[in-house]
Amino acid sequence: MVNGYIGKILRVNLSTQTCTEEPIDSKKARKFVGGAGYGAEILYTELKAGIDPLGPENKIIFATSPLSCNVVPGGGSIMVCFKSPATGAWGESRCGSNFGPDLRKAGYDIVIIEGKSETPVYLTIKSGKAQLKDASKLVGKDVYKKSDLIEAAESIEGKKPTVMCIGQAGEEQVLIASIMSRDRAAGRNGGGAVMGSKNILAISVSGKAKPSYGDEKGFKAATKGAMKTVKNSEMRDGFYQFGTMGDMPANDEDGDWPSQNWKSNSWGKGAALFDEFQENNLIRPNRCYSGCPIGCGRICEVADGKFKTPVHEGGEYESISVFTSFVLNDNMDAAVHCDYLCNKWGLDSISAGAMIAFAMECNENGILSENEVDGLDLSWGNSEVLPVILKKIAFRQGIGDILADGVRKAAQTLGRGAEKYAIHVKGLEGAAHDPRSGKLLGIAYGTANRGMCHIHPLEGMAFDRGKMHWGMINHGVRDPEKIDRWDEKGKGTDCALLQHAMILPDVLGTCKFMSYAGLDPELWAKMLSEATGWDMDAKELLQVGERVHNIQRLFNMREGLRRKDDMLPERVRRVPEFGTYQNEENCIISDYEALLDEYYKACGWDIETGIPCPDKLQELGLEDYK
Amino acid sequence: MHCLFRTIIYKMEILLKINGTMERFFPATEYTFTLSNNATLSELYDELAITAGAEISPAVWNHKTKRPRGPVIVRSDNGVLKGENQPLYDGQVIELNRFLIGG
Repeated sequence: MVNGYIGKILRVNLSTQTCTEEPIDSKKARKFVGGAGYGAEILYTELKAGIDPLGPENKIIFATSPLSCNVVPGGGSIMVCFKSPATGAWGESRCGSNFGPDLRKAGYDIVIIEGKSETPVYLTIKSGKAQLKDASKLVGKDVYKKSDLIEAAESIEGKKPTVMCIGQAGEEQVLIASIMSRDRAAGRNGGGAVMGSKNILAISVSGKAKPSYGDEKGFKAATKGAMKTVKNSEMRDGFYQFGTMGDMPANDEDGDWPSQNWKSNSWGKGAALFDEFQENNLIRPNRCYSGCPIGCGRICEVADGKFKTPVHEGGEYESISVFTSFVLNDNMDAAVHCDYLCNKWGLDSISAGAMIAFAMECNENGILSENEVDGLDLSWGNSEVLPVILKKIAFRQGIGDILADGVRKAAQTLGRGAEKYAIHVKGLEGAAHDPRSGKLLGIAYGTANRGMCHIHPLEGMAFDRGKMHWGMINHGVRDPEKIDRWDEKGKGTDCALLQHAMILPDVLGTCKFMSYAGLDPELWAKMLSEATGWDMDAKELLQVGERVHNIQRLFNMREGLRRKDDMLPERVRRVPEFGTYQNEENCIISDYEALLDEYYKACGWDIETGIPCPDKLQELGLEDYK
Repeated sequence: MHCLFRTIIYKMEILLKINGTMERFFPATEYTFTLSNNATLSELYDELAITAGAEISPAVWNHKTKRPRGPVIVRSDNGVLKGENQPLYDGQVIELNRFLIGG
């Protein structure tokens, strides 16, 4: 038994329809902690290289950590880990909701799902008792309907369970399908398709289990102190008042707003669109889990008109950006509507918006003819076509069947030069931040284990543009206030060090935004130590971060990825075609190869291949993971 | 006939500093305003709109409402000023900051 943990892993074999328990391994716990750390260790150990991500050999892991609980700032999180069907590489996605804490209350730290069920099922876990149930009545239902039905079926004395499920997109094995907890998504990398491929449609959890703590009083004091730090933070006020969309106007101005499928990094309409949302769509702020001290969520709606939606949680920066600037749509109602549809059908909104932008550009350049797009008008800015094509993707209809495979595969299928317009790294579509706003984001995008991701593990733009260091100038990162955003030298090293820190919320099963609001490695280490009884300082915790970053990297290397897969798309290394920065040569990375060399050196990876060197693996205690 | 009363209009001077990442959105980094006694933050914004409004980036300034847009923080005396009815005092130094929120 390891303090701080519930102490149990649930293994669900869908092929044999069996549920078995395993204990948390104390040595692995200290080395990998939980979340995307412990999850990576399991996937690396149990998966063979080259398996089909949509085959029964793949596994999908729902993992928490001792800090995944409601009293820890950001503790309302669950990490989902799997081999990604979209990238063929390391796949991971975080969802903010009560699901993570409630999985622990149901009696498990981690759930491993393997094999494939012959018929549709859902998993229910009630106070340590796991059971697979027939899900035939859930087939074809959207996320809200599935959630309603399971909540009704699994309630105990009127108390609803917490549910994560896939929508129709997951059932159709759309490679950009998400796993949803109501309006909150584990969106990226196609986890919804992995669930769909296994015929498991949902997981429901409820219970009242509690872990034993190393020092319960100490844990309470540490979490109370951390909560106070967040609540006193000015950042917290910004998140609460304006949500994640609060930065949209400044991102546009700063060249951090990819526009028209990355032809530019600014559009000039960010401020007006932000005002429109605030005035017409926003109802109130929202917390994604009970106890969140920030509340960055937005309850919103489109009250009437052709894009009408019910009241829902949406209006998130990434989702709105991909349905506005990515496709040059200046109708905010349409963007809010499309974001809602992604939640309803279970689609990763970032990838979905990126796919539409890709299709529009292919259409513009004659790669997709009118016939091939089912007669749709795919002109830039056509707001009416957005929900139509979104539905085609979610249900794999017509052209949507090609687009449902993500931008890399879709471009390969289309051929005819479509690759030129496919903006991705490792097969994952880029998010709504542009490395032409600051160089550190470029190296972060190139090297992130799950692909062109802005947040796993690091929001690189926040270093260059926001002058954020997340407490890491005490651990070797340079003071961003003293560095120009266009500088390149030194940022490879800064990026490596920051990745080791900013992967920690993923390892700890917590929310990254708390790091913006004052939580640093010292505070994370203090809370973890009090929970577990370990004497873990920030230095050791940062080494955990580096270890996890490396084992995920090893996973990718084993799949055959190399230095060539850390390259940035050509388009984002070019001066923007329009907008504020069209004459700004400084915004492009002048020597990406040199930046990558510096980054590999800082990581202790081979310069030629990008494979972690034996000395580094020895230092991290990963010598057995080869 | 002599006037028995003399109208005294008290004035106060406020220094507004534009800090950190906010600097690139403003044409200048410091402004000095002379405001009437008992003026509030609201009147400071009105003056700022007259003096520099047109040149402030819409990323941080709403030209229609003549007020800051998005996550702008107003600091003074090591604290945060919230609400526009905050009374100001002579010699007060006010800092406008912004921060990047994730997303």
